[in-house]
Amino acid sequence: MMLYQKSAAELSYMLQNGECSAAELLTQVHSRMEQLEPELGAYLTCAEDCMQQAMAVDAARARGEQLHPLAGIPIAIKDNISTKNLRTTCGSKMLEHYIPPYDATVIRKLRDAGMVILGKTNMDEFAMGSSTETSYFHPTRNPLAHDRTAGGSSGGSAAAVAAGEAVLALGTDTGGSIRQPAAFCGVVGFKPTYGSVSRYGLIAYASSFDQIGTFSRTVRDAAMLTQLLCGHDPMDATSAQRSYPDFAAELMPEIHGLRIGIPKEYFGSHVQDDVKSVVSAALHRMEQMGAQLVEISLPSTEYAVNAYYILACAEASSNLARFDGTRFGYRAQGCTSPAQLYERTRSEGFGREVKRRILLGTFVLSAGYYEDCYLRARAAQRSIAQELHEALRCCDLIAAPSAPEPAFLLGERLNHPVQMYQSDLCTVPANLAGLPAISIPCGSVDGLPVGLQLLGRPFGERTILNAAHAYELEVQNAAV
Amino acid sequence: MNIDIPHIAKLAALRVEEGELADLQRDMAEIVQMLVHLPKVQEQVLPDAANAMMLREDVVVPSECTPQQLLQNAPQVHADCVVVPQTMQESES
Repeated sequence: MMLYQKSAAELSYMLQNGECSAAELLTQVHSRMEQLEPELGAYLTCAEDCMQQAMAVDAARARGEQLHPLAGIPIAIKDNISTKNLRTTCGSKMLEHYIPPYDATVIRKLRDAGMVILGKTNMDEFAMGSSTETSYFHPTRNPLAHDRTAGGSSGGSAAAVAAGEAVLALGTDTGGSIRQPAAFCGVVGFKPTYGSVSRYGLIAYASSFDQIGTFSRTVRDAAMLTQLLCGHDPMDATSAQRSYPDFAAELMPEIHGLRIGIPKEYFGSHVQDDVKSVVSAALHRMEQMGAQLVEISLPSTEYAVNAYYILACAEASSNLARFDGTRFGYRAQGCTSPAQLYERTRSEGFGREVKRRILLGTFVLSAGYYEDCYLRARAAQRSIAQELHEALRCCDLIAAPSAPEPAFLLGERLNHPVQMYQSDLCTVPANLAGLPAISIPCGSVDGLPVGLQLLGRPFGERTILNAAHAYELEVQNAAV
Repeated sequence: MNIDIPHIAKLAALRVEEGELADLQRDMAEIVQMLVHLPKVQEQVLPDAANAMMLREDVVVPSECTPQQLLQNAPQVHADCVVVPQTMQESES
């Protein structure tokens, strides 16, 4: 097995024991990128100082310094997370040449741990999309089926990890943008509890839903990376003031006796029958391992997509008001007044889906419609969150498909926004309630991966990771 | 629900070309049709006091960036200021 195919945990062991160097590992990952990037398009910008980063780790290890377990591991970063002196575009013409003067808090943590930042990955423009097709630059292809999407909006990160173009990756999840591409590409995608990972330096889409999370090929790797990222940050006013257990050190295959809620609304007619079969088979496996499956009902789920799009677009219309051609980003030429500058810059700098969502957000907040749209969406959000919290009082986890279907064809949904939005129905409830959720591979349909989603209690990352780890080991052992 | 796209676009500082208007009108109508399917508000939605944001103290601390670094992405800079089109017109009198 090549180095780029190994997990971060395995590579960490090998690096610590001198079985390979960070430079060797990076060389293999770079070869993989050279080989696949022309076809996949997972990256937008490659860091030029990767080898320096890797060699610095090797030198520190040679000096006998005590290093973080993830030191020397190559990681890709979704392109809405600020990286100092490394272009950050949000997949948009608006920020095509933007170079942040500072690192996001999560990037500072990766650098302090000695991780090797490979570059910035492709995404739907300003994280608005579910297929990485709204990127201004190019779409990202699914490594397992090149005529299909990698999912979105973190499609580049998911594809990079799935293809061996990175060992780990960061993504963001506002309505499912880690879990759905993880499912489409057959990797592990983890969105922690809202507030557990700092958003300082994350270019905002919808501030009350955005959460940075992880892509990896194993649950142990997700635990290691999440451990590094979690923690209070005074630079983020929504950052939770609490400490976290060591998810990686305490990772145990624990599933016996766990009560797993199965909401009937997540297995309705809107989910493809063959996806339901694969997910149900995985849940049956968990039952055989000792988990207790509990049928539950979450009736407000029918309002989830509607509530999400009203609230997220309302926040987006406010967050994206800063892109006006004044202090940074694209500026339209030949404008003779500020009003003209703002209008022309925004019209020329944003793509169609972003404009659509800004218009929708502006509409739902406008006079005469605020009560009818925004407040009703907030009330629906409250119902959805209350039902989930209530269900998690009698269940340890809630299970669902990560997406209603496997990866769809490139171009299939681009001109059908409502159909695209409806495909988020399995994932948006966790964002509306701020809950942690993971997607793990659980089978396939016609050769395309299917993801099983597990939702947990607020700050219940350990329960999710341990259950997912148990299932993953069970499947691996059965395959041997 | 009637959506006045040109009015909303003006509020959002976006320009909608004639050729785009019909498609946008159709898209927005379809989206709004989907979105108005929400229950009526039964009670007032109050902020969740238990999960209020914790604000740090309002104390001046050194910035990690210099003014020059913060201006490095500005489209046009003069004397450490961002240059923009004229905001005030001269009066004729």
